[in-house]
Amino acid sequence: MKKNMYYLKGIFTITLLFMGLQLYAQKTVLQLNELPKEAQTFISKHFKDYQLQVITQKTKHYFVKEYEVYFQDRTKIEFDSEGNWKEVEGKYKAIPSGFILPEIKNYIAKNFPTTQIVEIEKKTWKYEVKLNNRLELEFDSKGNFIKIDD
Amino acid sequence: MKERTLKYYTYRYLLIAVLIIIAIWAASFYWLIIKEVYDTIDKSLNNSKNRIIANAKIDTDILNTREFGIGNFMITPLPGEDYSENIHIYSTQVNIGKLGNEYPARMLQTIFHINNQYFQLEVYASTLEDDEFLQNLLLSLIVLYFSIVISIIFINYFVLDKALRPFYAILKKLKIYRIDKSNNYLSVQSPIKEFNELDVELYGMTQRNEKIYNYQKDFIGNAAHELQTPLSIISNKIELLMEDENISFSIAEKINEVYLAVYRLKNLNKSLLTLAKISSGQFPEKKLIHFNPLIHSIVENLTELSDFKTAHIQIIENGNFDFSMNEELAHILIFNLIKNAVTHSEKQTVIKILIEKNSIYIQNPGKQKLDEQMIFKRFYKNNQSKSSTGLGLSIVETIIQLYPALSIQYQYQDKHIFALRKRK
Repeated sequence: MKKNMYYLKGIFTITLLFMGLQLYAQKTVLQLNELPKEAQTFISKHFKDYQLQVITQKTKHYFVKEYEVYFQDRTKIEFDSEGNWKEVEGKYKAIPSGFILPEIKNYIAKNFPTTQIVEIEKKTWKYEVKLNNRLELEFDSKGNFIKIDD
Repeated sequence: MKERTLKYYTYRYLLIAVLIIIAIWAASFYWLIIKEVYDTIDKSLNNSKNRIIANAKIDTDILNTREFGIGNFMITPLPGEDYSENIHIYSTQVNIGKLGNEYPARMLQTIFHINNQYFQLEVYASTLEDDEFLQNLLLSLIVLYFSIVISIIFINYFVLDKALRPFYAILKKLKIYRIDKSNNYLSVQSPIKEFNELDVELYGMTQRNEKIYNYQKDFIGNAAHELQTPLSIISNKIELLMEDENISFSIAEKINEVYLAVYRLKNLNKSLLTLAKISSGQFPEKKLIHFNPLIHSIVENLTELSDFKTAHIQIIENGNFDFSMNEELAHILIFNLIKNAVTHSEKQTVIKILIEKNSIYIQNPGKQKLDEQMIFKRFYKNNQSKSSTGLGLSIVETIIQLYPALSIQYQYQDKHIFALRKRK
């Protein structure tokens, strides 16, 4: 019984710690020119027709900064601290595709000609692409198709 | 290291092992079934696809199926001709016809061409029933998992309990075994070879120990017995010497010292002999002893003998203590207890003997508590008593051990109290 109590205490402490981290991940509102140069260029190049709504900065795990850019039509871009895009989310609406690897675009055009890309996420080793028919595809960092994520 | 019972110890590991192994087994089984179910669906989807494309080449009406209908498929014509004809199969939700409900389904999507016109074909198979099947399977697996784990634990509990029974019997036997009560180690019969071996070995060990113990006991008895004669000769000769008128006063004084030493030696030897006799069971006769008159007569004798120690003995009778035992032993018992109180009392103090129906208390004043653990041991003496042999209380304990219905206890409450009690 005593041992169980220790486990419980341990779990409780860890939970508290994580809650603390979450609380610490606070958001601040930024102006466009406060974003890293890379991110500003990215927006002006690929999203020039979009209406900006709000830009926020998040501090995750005490020191890693993240930026989130929201547009009027609820499209969202996430940048890392360097200003590289991490995720573009169109909320079931097609997103501009100028920054997407041609291999990925090509694969989708050839295999799923009736669909459009609504979301793309860049992970360490792969890309995750969401289509408007709810299909989720995975590509490696060179744009080679891996699998359908179902 | 923390001590745990054998059962607890084995259970803990068994439980962990069973929980993990069966969990892994159940998970892999479930995963394999899922894979098998989807494999079957995917194969039939492939067959449908082949049939549809083959039929479409003959009957071009099929190519106009723009919505999912009875045929569970849909064809979309594509402009241009830059397409790859890969087959993709995935799980999704399908919106069937005009009902507007979504159903879980397995979807096959591919592109084919007839002449130079490309078409996208989507065929689906509803997995509603399969999902239900998998859900039921998961539920059954969970129920089965717990029932198997519980059964294994229960079976093990009873098997372990049964298997270990002889072990606990042997342990119980060892706890009550005393070397000075011969042949009280009885064998435990069990169907387990190891425990029988243990039992046989333990029995052999007790036999060997008893033999050595008895040999030593006999040796002490014999030695004491053999010493008796030379000791009486020595004391007799000394007595004769003391009566000689020709010896000088200083020699007479020395001879007296020798006589006192020999007297002590004789007492010691007598006690040792008594001890040996008692423990070898040489007092088998029993009769009902009335302790009240016995105590009175012993006290009278003692006060006559030991006038130099003028401790006053007071007897308080609240009842009659009667007990069936050997007469001689009863005498030795009471004599030793009272004598012990007398020898260890200062002059002008009062020794109280309290007699009740089931107990006798002998109290004498004393300043310091004695060591309860050591007091009944042979030759245990506290420094002040030169004249005592150190065997009196040891004899008392040996006698008590002969009669399981009696007990002796030492307590200290500003005075020494020896309590002789009948066990209920």
